[in-house]
Amino acid sequence: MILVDQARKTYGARTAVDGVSFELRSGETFGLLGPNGAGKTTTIHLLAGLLDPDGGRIEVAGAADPRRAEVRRKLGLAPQTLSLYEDLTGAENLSFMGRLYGLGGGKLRERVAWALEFSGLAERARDRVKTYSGGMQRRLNLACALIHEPAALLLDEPTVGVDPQSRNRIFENIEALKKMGLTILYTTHYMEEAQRLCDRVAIMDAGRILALDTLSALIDAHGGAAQVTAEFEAPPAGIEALFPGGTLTGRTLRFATAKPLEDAAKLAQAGHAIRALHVDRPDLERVFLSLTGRRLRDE
Amino acid sequence: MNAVLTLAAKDLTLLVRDRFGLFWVFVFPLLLAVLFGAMFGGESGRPLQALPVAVADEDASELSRELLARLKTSEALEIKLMDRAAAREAVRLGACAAYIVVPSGFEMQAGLFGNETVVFEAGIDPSRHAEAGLLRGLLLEAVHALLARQLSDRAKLRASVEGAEMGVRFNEAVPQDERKKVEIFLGQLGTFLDEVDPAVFKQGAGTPPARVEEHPVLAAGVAGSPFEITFPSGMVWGLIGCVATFALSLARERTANTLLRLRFAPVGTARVLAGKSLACLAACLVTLCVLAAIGAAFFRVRVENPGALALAFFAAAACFAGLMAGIGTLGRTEQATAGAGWAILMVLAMFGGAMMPLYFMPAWMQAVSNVSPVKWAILAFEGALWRGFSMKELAAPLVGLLLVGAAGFAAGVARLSRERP
Ligand SMILES: Nc1ncnc2c1ncn2[C@@H]1O[C@H](COP(=O)(O)OP(=O)(O)OP(=O)(O)O)[C@@H](O)[C@H]1O
Ligand SMILES: [Mg+2]
Repeated sequence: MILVDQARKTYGARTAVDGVSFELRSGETFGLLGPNGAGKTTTIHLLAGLLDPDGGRIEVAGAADPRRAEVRRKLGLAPQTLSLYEDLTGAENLSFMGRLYGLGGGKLRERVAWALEFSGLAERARDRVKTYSGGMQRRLNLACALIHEPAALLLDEPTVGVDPQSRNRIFENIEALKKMGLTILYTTHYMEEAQRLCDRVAIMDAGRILALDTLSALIDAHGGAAQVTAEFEAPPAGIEALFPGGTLTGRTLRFATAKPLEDAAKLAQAGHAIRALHVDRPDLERVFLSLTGRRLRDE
Repeated sequence: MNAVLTLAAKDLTLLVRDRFGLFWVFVFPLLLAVLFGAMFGGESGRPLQALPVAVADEDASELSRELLARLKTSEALEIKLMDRAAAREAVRLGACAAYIVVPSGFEMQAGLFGNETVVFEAGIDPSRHAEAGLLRGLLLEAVHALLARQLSDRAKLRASVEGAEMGVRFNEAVPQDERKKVEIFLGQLGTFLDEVDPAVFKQGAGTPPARVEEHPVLAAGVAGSPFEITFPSGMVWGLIGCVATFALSLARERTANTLLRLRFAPVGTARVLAGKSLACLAACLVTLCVLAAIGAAFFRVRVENPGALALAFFAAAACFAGLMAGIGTLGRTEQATAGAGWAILMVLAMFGGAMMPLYFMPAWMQAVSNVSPVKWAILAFEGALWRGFSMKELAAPLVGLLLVGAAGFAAGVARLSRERP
């Protein structure tokens, strides 16, 4: 559906996208996970035809120029920065966008009604957008990208600045869109989102893709072992020797293992009184840490 | 075309919802037209305040007194008599706009056989230089009128001829036989004057030069109501308000990031800008029609040629809608666009005569004004309203306006397609 091959983009001396290659297969949800400034938005703008690459090749729906009108009709874009007319109502924003894509009459009314229902904004449809909450504006921003029934969707951090309730709603929306068979490119710097929604994930940092695979393959390759932490009432002598690489500090035992559940059961069966048991499975955060030596976000 | 209409409809909806924008587009130009109309004389129908002029009469002759009496009849002048020093002082202190000295010997020089040009000493307040032309015109007109009357007055002429005869008879510098010839000629002229009908002179010499005739036209205003001068300026201010409002809304599309969506839609930069310009054109037309209707209904603004006015309105609206596209793409933020926009529009308005009438301006500014679309717009409006322009006379300003509009739009499209998010 979308092919990016060695794409490069520089802003003056700064290279924002540095030889990025990936392919978006029809019907999949592809995550672009990276910290601030990784080059996610620049990549999206490149394949939306809003920016010209300084090098490399981009192909959308079989066409080399994403600017062609018939290509544009197949794409929907929800920009990272909200892109809405605050003095128009939600319904007016939607129908304006629909008209730009050539919709009209009954078809337009039907699509606007669907989009309002889909984003849970039907009740507020006649209110001006400036009276909406941040989460509602995000949902409308997504709905505007869907009005013309695109085959592929470019979502640039669709949950930034959103309360948990709206975020959940957006997740459900995206899961529904996946079921409908849309091809989705999803950028985020929240690893939970990539884990929950994406079939494949590319880890991006400083303009480059460091790793690209399915979630489980990435974790297997870069996540390392699970960490088990157990806190005893009274630590039994020599317990750390039972687990390779185990360390005992005070009353707390730590070890890494490929079979965390089995090892935890073994600990419990030994009959020692355990105050707390914690299993830390590898995740994308760990993958990112192991690839870059840094955390995804500074918290 | 559908996309362009959609874009324009969206912009007009946004304009109607923006009260501040509406003020600049409709209320402000109307206020200007009415306030300035009232300031320029309101109901009295006299567009200019009388110019206070100090006059020192150093000739104190019958003719000089007659000249002063004539100047006093002009509504455009307020004559104050004083001596030369006091007159100069009055101008220096700003109490009078100008002073004139009627030179001693004026009666002699201005007589039938005066062979020297009469030179009036005059001084103008530097801040009121624009009005000097008016004063000079009125003065010369009065002198010419005096001469014409003198020529038709047989007794005065006879006296002049005798004065000249005496002058020649006793002038030792002229050779004897020359003096004889002149004496014979003057003697015959005297006889002729006794016999001929004075009405003949009146016809021949009574018409002052055309240059002088022009000035009272400007002073009194051709227009019937002072609002006929201020409403066309008000209309231009309406156009400027529209341009500023829509140029800002284009900048806002950028800062509110909606421009990104417009670029991403299958529409194209030219049509995005065409939609904005179409909305601006529509707003301009509404503003112009509202002002014309109010002017005609309440302020005695004549609409002599509605068809021509419609053409002038369309050309001016298209011109300013195109300028809007050029100005709206100049800056990337609303502040930058507002700054650049007002700077350009103020200069256009100033040089185009929307701030003060063109004839108040120094010559170089009047020359520059010839390239301001504001001047062409005002000319086209006045031409259609009350100057009685033919279609041929209207063509030049209309074509100029359309060309400027097209150039502005092309510049806007070029800038916007080069721009990247
Ligand atoms: N218009 C621009 N001019 C100059 N530099 C830019 C511009 N846009 C982006 N950059 C730079 O390019 C790099 C990549 O930016 P980009 O917006 O693509 O990152 P991102 O991954 O989307 O980050 P975020 O998570 O913060 O949205 C950054 O270093 C940024 O400073
Ligand atoms: Mg971004």
